[in-house]
Amino acid sequence: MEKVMLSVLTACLLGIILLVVGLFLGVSFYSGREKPSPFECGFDPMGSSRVPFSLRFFLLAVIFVVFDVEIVLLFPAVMVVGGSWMWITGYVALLVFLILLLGGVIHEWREGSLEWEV
Amino acid sequence: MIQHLISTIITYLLILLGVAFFTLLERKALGYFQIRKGPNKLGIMGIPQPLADALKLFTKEWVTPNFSNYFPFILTPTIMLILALSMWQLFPSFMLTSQMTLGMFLFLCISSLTVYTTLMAGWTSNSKYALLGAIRAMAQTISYEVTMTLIIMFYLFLTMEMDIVSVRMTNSPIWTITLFFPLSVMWLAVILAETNRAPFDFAEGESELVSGFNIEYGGAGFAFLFMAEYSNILMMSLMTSCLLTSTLIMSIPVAIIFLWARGSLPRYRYDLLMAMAWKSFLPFSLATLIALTPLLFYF
Repeated sequence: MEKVMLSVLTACLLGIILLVVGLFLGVSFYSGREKPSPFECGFDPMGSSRVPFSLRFFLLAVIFVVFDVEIVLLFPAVMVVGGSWMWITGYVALLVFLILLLGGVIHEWREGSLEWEV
Repeated sequence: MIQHLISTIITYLLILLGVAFFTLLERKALGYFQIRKGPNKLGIMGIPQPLADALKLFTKEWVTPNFSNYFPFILTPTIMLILALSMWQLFPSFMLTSQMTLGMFLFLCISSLTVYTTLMAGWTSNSKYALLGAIRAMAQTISYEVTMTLIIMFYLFLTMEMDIVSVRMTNSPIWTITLFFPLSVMWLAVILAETNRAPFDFAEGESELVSGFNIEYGGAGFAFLFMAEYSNILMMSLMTSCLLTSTLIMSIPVAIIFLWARGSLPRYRYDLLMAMAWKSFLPFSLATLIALTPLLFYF
């Protein structure tokens, strides 16, 4: 664990050094009215940039959260599956869980949450 | 501990160097795909080209757009680079300074954190193109993450280990790519989509979003984003070589497949991409897991 932290901290250090170098070398001297304006193909930016987005993306993120949580619940099985201490009940439980997940996908599909038509 | 520090620093520096020359390889390979030469003037046959590119990018001025959130805007590329680098502590060499029992878990955690940096880069830069590109990239990455985790789980069920070095050693008698070939092909498509690479590069669809989520970044910030992306590609190739084969040298053909796909395949369509993730890849990978579980009981 300490070694993981040490590696991450080393990465942070390297990143911050590079950031400082980049900020020092890339300091901007002249800044007019046009130069810092957001890029919109040569036009003046129209309205706010934080535009509303399609609800599809939000729905997809919600489905993703559900599946990701279920996958996290599935992960402990990796360490025990195939071992001699895992009885048939364990396998049956795993199988039931996986079939429920597949049933969940098919249910979402049938309900139309996975469609991408507008 | 000091050994671990030294080995980590050497790994990171060599990865940065490897990323630099991987970009040279990409430019060369794309050049020859399009029947031109690519960089061949600088130094000897254009070999120091990536160093010159880095020098150029770092000396360009770093402009922050109006009304952008300054600190997140500046910090995001750095965080992306930090995440990409800290994944490389998992490098599965046999000369270890640390053995991580749950190495694959760390890989999944860090690679799922990358989504936040993409979203932050798009949202903070106060540009419509960047925001749209970031949202697309986020939806794509999280959709394929589910399938990626399930495929990884398939191979982990076979080895019963989460440590990447142990996975390599368990795979060494017989390569698992021969075990179930369609799943390996699917894994290849998933890692292409996971790193937002062509033909699934909707994060930076040039034809409609100019450059996608990194449009407002220039100079050093762009260099960081670029380095992080290519470092992730190399990491994914490394994971492929560990999971599907056992030798690290097989990561080089996989990295070349990334370039080959970019050189030869046209961009996919976004709704088809999402349909592919949720309607074909996810049920298929779940079904393979369901088929595998009774087999594991028998053997």
